[in-house]
Amino acid sequence: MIKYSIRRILLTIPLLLVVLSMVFVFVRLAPGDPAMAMLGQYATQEGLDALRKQMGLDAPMWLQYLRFLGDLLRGDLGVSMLNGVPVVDQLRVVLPYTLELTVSAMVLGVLLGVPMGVYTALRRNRSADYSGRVVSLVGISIPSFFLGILLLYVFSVRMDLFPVLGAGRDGDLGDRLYHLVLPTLSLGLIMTSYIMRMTRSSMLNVLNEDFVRTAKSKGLQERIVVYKHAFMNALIPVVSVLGIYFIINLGSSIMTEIVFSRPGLGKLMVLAMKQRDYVVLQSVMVIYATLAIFINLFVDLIYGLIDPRIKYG
Amino acid sequence: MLNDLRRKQLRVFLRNRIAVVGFFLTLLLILIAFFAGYVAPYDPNEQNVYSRLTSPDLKHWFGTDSYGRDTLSRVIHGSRISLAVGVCSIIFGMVIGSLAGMFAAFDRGKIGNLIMRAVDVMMCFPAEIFAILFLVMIGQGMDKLIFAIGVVMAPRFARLSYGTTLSIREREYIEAARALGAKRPRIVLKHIFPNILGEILVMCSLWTATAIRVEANLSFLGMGVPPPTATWGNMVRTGVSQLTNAPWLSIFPGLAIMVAVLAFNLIGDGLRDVMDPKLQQG
Amino acid sequence: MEKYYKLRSLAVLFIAVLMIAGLSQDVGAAKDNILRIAFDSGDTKSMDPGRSFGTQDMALQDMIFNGLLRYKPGDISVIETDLAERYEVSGDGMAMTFYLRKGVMSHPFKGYPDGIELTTEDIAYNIKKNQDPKTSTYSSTYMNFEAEIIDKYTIKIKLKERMVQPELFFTDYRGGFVILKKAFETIGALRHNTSPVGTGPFKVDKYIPGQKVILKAHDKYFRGKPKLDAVEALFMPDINAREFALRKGEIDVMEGMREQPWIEKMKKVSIVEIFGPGEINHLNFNVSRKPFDNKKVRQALMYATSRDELLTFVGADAADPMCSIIPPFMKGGLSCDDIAKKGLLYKHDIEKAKKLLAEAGYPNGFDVEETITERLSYRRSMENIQAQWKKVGVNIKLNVVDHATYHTKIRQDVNPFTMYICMRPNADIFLSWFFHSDAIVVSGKRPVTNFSHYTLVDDLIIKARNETDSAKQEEIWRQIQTKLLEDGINYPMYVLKFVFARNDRIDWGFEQKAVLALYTQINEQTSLKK
Repeated sequence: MIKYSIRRILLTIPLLLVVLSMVFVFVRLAPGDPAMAMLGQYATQEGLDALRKQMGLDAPMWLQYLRFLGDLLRGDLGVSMLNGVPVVDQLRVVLPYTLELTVSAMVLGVLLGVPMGVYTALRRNRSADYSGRVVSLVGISIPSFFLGILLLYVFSVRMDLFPVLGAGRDGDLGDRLYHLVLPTLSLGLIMTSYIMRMTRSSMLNVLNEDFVRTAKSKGLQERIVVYKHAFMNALIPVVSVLGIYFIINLGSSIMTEIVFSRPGLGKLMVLAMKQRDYVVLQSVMVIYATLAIFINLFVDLIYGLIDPRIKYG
Repeated sequence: MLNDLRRKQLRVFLRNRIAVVGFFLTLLLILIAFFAGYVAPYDPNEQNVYSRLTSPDLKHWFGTDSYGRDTLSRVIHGSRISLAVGVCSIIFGMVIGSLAGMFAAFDRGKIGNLIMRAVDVMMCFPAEIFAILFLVMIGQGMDKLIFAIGVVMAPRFARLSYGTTLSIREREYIEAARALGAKRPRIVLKHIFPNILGEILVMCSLWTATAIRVEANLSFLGMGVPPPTATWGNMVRTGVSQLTNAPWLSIFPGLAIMVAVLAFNLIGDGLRDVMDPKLQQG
Repeated sequence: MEKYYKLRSLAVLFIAVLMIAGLSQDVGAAKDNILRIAFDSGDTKSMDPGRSFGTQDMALQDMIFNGLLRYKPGDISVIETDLAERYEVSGDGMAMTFYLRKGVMSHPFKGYPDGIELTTEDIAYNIKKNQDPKTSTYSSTYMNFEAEIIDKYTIKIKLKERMVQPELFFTDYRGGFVILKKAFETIGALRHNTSPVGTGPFKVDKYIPGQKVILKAHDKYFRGKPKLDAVEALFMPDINAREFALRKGEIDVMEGMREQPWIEKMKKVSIVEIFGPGEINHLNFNVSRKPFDNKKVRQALMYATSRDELLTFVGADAADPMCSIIPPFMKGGLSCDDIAKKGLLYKHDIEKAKKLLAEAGYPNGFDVEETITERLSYRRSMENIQAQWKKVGVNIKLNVVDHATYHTKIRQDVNPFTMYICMRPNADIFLSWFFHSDAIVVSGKRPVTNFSHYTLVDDLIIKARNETDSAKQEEIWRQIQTKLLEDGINYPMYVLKFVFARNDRIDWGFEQKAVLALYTQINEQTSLKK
C-alpha cells in the first residue's frame, strides 16, 4: 500500500511538469504583458523596457523557462511581478479559504447526497424517487454562480438572514463559519445532486443482483445484513467518481468566490490574469493541478481500502 | 431484428416522461433560437434613455436594463449564443476527441500512448480553468469560445472512444477484416465507428449540457462573446451589480441558462436509460 | 440501514452547527477609532509613489507620503507648502529653491524605531530615483531636473529645458511624493512596494495581499498626531460587496459606481460624496485609417453622436459635459459656451451626419471593427456610441478585451478611433501627449498616446510651451483646441467625477471639492464620531 502510494506520487511529478510547461507557454502567448498592465496609460517606451528588464521579461523564453524550473526545484515560487510580494505569501493567505469552501461543499454533498440517493433507490418509481430525480437534475443543471446569486438574493437581500459577503474576520471562527454558510450551500447542493444521482444508480445496480433479490424473501435479520452489504457495494462506484466531482467543484468555486466576494484561488487567478502577472498565474495553476492530482490520488487510495478486489502491487 | 431493437428503445424513451419533457423543452429552445427575430418583442440592442431599469410590467415582461434594453428580448436572443456554442463546441470536441481516442486504441504504440497521457493531463484541470487558459491566449469571440470549449471537452470523448474501441478491436470480425488486409481507416469507419456511435450520442447530449454551463461560466467571468451581443452569462454578470435594486436583470437570464442545461440533461438521461440494458428491466 | 441513519443524523447536525454559528453572530458597526475604506481594486500594485499611479494606489500613497508642496486638502485650486516651509522660482523660470521644514520625522523602520529626520539629501535622492526608469515610471519628465544641495534644509532645483509649471512636479502627487533615501536603501526597492516609509500622517502597519492594508497613525507627524488611530484600506473589487459592507456598518466609506441610478439609490441610505476634478472621456479619430482620413466622415460621426444621451447614461450627477479636450477649470481650457460661440459644438444632428456621409461617399454608412476594454466606464459609453452610430448606418463590431490588453492594443495602433479616459496636470501635457507628432503610437519618435496620427499642431504646442506670458500661452492653447475641433480630430464627451458613499460617522476635517488623489482624502484632521 505504501509502495503503491509512493509510486503514484512519483508518477504525478512528470504530470505536474507537463502541466507547468503548458501553463508557462500559454500565459506568455497571451496578448498584453505585465509591464503594460502596470504602467497602463502612462507607459512610455523607455519605462516599459526598463520594467520588462526588471521583471526578467527581456530574456529569451527558453531562458525564462529554465529559470522558472530552477526556482521551482528549489521550492521557490517566485515573487509577484507587480508588487514583489512572494507568491507563497499570497497563496498562504488565499488557499485556506478555497480549501474550506470546496471541502465543506464536498462534505455537505456526501452527507446529503449518499442518504438521499439510497432513499430514492429504495423507493424506485414512487413519487419520492421522481421528485428526487427532478430536483437532482435541476441541481446538476444550475450554474453555481446562479445558485449563489439566488441564495444571496433570498437570504441576504430579502430576508437579511445571512447579510454578509466576504469571508469573515481573521481568527474569528464563528464569523468565518457564518460567512461560509451560503457559499457552501451554493456549491454543496450542486455536489449533493451529483452524488445523489450516482448513489441512486449504483444502488439500483446492486439491488438488481441476485443475492439481494433472494434476501427480500428472507427474514428481517438477514435482510438487514444483506442491505448493509449491498450498501457497501453500492458505495464503491460512488467513491471512485468523487475525484471527478471534486474537480467540477474546484472549477465552480471560482465563480462562487466571485459572487460572494470571498478571497480565494479563483479570485487570485482572475486578478492575476487581468494584470498579466505570469508568476502568480502560473503558481495558481500549479496549485489547482496539484490539488486535483492529489485529490484523485487520495480517492484512489480510499477506493482501494473499501474495495477488497483491488490489490496494490 | 435491428429495427425491433430500435422500436423497443423508442418505446422505452417515450415511456420515460422526464426524457420526453426534455425533448420538447429542447425543441422549444431550438425554435426560439431559430425564430428569435420574430419571437422577441423588441430589438435586443435598442437602447432607450427613457425606460431604464424599469421593473417587469406588461410592456417589458422581464423589465429593462440600465441601457433601457428589453431583458426578455435579450434573453430570447441570448439563446442563440448558448445553443450555438454548446452544440458546435461539442461537435468539434466529439470529432477531434473520438478520432484521437479511436486512433490511440488502434495504434497502441508510442503516439497512441502519448495521446492518452495528454488526455490524462487535460482531465485533471477543471473545465473552466482550462478554457480560461485558452481564451487568455487566443482572445475573445464566438469562434474562439467554440474552439476553447471544444478542446476542453475533447479529452472526455477521447477517453470514451478509447475504451469502447479497445473492447471492440479484439473481436473476431475485426481481426478477420484485418487479416483480409483491410486498411485501418476503413476498419475504423466501417466497423468501429458504427459500434461506438450510440454511446457517443448519449454523452453528446449530456456534455452539451456541460458545454452550455461552461459557456455561461466563462461569460460570467467576462470571457464570453463580447457585447452588445446578448449572452446569458454576460447578462447575469452585468446584472449582478444591480441585484439589490434590479434583481430581474440577473435572475431571468440565470433561469434561462438553467432551463437550457436542464433540457439537454433530461434528454441525455433518457437516452442513457434506453441504452443501458440493465436498467430496462424492472 | 443503521449506517444510513447515522449519516442522516450527521448531516442534520452539520447543518445545525452551521446555522447556529451563523445566527449567534452579531455583525454590527465596529465602534473603534479606525476608519475603514473600501476600494474598487483587487490589490495594490505598489505603494511606492514612483511605481504605481493606479487610482487606489495613489490613494494609499496620499496617506503615507508628503510632497514639498501640496494641493490644499480637498481643493486642487490652491497650492500650498508641505514639506517645504517656503519656495522661490527664479525670474527666468529655470530654477526653484525649496526651504525645508525642520524636524520632519519619518515613519519608524528597521533599525530606526524613532524614524529619521528628512533632509535635502532625501529630496535630491528622490529626483535621482525618479530619473531612473528602473525605479520610477516618470523618468522622462524628471530627466529635466537637476538638484543642487545648498545646505541641510535648502535645495536648488534647476531645469534643463523650459517647462510649464515645473513646481507641479514637486507636489503631493505621483513622482512628487517624497521617499527617504536611507529607508529606501535599507528596505530595498522590491519590499518598498508593500512596506514603504514616508513622512505622512499614516504609516503602513500590515499588508495582507489581496485583502487590505492597515495604516496606523504616525504619532510624530509634523502637523500633529492624527485624530484617527488607524485607517484600514480594503480591496473589494465587487460593488455588491462594498455596498453590503457599508449598509452593514462594516466599512465607513466606499468607492461607488459612477452612475445615476446607483447614486440615487445610495443617497437614500448613505451620504454620497461626488467630487472633481474627474477624468475626461474623449474619442480620437485615427486619420491614418480609411475612411477616417476623410474629414467629412469624422465630422459626420461627431454630428451622429449625442453628448446629451451619453451623459444621461452616465448620469447628470457623476459627469459634466465637455466640449473641448482642455477642461474649463484648467489654464487654457474652453467651456461648452465658448465652443458654442465658435460654432464647433457639433450638436447632435442625424440628418446632417447622413448628408456628410453621403458626400464622403458612404450614403449607407460602413462597418468598422473596434477594440474596447471590458472596464465599465469605457464600455458603457462605447456601447452607447455603437447604438447611436447605428442610426446613420455605421456598424461597430466590438472586440472586448481586458484592460491590460486594451492598453497594449491601442498602443499597437489597432483602432480606427480610440476612447480614452484620463486626467493630465496641465494643457501642455494634454496636447503634447495626444496631438504632437512625436507622440504618435508605434511610429512616433517617442510614442505616447497620439492615437489620431495628427501632425498639424506641433509648432503651436512648442510655441505655447516657450511662451512666458501666460495670457498669450493660454491663447495659443485655445487656438490648438479650435483647430482640433475644426478638423474633427478629437471629440470630448464628458468629465467623469468620483463617487464615494459613506456613513455619517465621518468628519473629514475639510470639504471634498476636488481631490487630485482621486479618493475621499483622509488626513490628520479626519475623525470619526463616536
